[in-house]
Amino acid sequence: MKTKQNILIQEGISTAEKPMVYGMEVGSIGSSFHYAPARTRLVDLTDQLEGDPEILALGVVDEEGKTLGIVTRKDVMGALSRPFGRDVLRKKDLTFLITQPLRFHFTENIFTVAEQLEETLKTNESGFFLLVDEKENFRGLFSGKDMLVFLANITSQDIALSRKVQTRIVKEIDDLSGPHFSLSARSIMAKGIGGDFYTYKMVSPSTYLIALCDVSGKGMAASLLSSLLSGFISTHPGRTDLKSLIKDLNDQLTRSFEGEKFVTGIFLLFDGHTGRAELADMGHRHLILYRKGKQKKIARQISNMPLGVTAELSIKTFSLSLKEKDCLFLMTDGMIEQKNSLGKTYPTERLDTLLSFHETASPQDLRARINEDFDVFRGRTAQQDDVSYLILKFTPAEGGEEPRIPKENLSPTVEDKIRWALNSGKPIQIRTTRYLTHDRQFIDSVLNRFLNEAGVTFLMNKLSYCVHELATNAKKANTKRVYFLENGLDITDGPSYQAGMTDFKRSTLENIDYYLDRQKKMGYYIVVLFHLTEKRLRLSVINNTEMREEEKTRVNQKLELARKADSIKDIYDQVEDYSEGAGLGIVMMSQMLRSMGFGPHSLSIESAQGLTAATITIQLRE
Amino acid sequence: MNITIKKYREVYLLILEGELDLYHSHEMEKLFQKLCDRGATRFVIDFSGIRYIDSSGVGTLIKLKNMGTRRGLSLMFSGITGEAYNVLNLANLLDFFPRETDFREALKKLSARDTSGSGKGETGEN
Repeated sequence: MKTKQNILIQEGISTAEKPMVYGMEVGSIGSSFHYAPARTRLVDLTDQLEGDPEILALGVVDEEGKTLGIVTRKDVMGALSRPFGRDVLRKKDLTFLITQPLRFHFTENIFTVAEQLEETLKTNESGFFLLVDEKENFRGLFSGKDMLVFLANITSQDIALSRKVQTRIVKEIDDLSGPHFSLSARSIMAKGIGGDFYTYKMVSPSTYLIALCDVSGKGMAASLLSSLLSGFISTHPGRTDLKSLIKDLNDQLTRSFEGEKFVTGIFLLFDGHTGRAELADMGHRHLILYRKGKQKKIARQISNMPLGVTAELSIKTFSLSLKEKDCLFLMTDGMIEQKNSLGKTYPTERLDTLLSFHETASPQDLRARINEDFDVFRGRTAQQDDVSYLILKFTPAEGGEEPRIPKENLSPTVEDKIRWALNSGKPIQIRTTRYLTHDRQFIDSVLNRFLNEAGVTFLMNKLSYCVHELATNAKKANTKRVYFLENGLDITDGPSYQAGMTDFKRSTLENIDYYLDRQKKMGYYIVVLFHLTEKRLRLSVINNTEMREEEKTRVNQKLELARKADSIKDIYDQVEDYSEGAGLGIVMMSQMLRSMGFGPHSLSIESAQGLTAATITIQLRE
Repeated sequence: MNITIKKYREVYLLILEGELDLYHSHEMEKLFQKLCDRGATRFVIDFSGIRYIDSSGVGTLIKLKNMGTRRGLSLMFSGITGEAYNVLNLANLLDFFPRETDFREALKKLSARDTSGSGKGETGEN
């Protein structure tokens, strides 16, 4: 829609109505809407300009309002400041001072205009440009500075968005623990966004794909590419075939960028049980093995060309067998190329000393120490490049984590049912109402059988915790329904819900046995479902109450928060705001699943048709 | 869950036994609040008897720690092993709580803060 211009062709300065603009139209950066007819006397204009110092330029129009050009304050004042200027130019109008800058229709796309002005702005950023409509009527002025500010804001927003996307994919710090190894990684971008990334994922029971890469270049292009590649690696169907994955990655890169962008990186397929790894070094080289606190030369290490250089890439892999307590250190070149105030680069000897002195430290501890040392080294010198590193230790879990050993012996009948479920690939379900200690122990025993069958018993502690947490939530949801019914409150009614919730927790916690009995009598139950197929293990906790819309929204917010957060600590400050207490549990479960190498959607919660089902899906194979 | 309270000079030792979960963690919170209201400023919370802890229990511990920080209390945890260790470790929270392996060590540390050189105190039921 175009607004009707309302220009009164009177002498002196008038102000045009700001045009209505939509989206990315150049009219949106108009900053001056003053104009005057060409017949205006120069001396009169000067008097008006002296009264309004903010007017730096104005449009000049003819008697019909058509745009003739512009006059600038500088030119007007310059003319009159000449000797006897005011007397000489007393009768002069504006015509002789009019200049003809580039003019644009005010609805023209701002980026098209920016392209046209690219060369002009390099030499004349303080110049002015005209905005007109289809009838050449004056619609405003914008300056080169207005355009540059607009572009800077767009860039700044793009950088912020790129950073947001990148930090969702590449966390600043992240940890993973597997059957006999733990891993810790850190990635710090030099300018908010960059081209480093790491990724890892369980690709079959106990086998993990791990990669640390460095995309050439900096800024948004590198950031975009690193996010793209990280996603490509984690969704690639041939993840258990290292060469096929790298080949496809290379094809993708060469096809899209035709050699303009390349990527170096180390790729590993690591067996957490045996410590054996197949590695591909794609022109990266920054891989160090520490054994008994000392650097150990990696035999037969082969380096290939970086990805993205040529479509005809030959990929050679090499193998490495980690021994207990071996530490594998991968880094990007930003680390060892960092200079301090004396111009010296960060020496790997510092890493050797750290890893030797803290030989028994966990990867998490080492990560913190390396970070501290790196910061001490560089002092006040700015971080010059992206710095990423990944520490993998082949060792039983650090610090005394004790495996949860099921205490419940299963009866022959239960054993038969489990065997049937495992052999047939069908689900088995366990139904309870109270979910007390012995229920937990029973569930642990069944879970252990399923994990054993799937070859992932090392996941027992975390998955057991998650199932119990989900069952506690389900039990609480059932209790809530009973409480509302007992107190004659309508759970679906907003004010009634708020009123009920004020005393729900205290009241039910103090009389939990009563409420659990009532739950049973009223037919509320919890079902824990186990389903193992060749490719995945599915654990669901179902209860026969449906979440309210507000509850669904809150749960989804917590899931989203957990997916975005770098660590649980990031969100601890909010814990006291969790009015119903379930938020932290969801966040903890999401983080635990991530630390096992499972993606953000491995935990899902759905509620419909009188049921709520929380499901953990463990992808065992492609 | 059972909570035994002992006092060692100015330090309150809370020994937890059983399950620190949704249904019991509020007891812990209420007791802690009550002791604070009575003027207690130093606490050791011992976990060696905890058989099960869930996110409500973890949330309560965080609340206590945050409350301690806000009020300038001295708070230390001990006996975080077994189930409690597993959960806090899985949640990457072990470093979040100041802790000692044994409650005697924790008591010594908190007592020593203003009674250095005063010798051993006695532990007795409160």
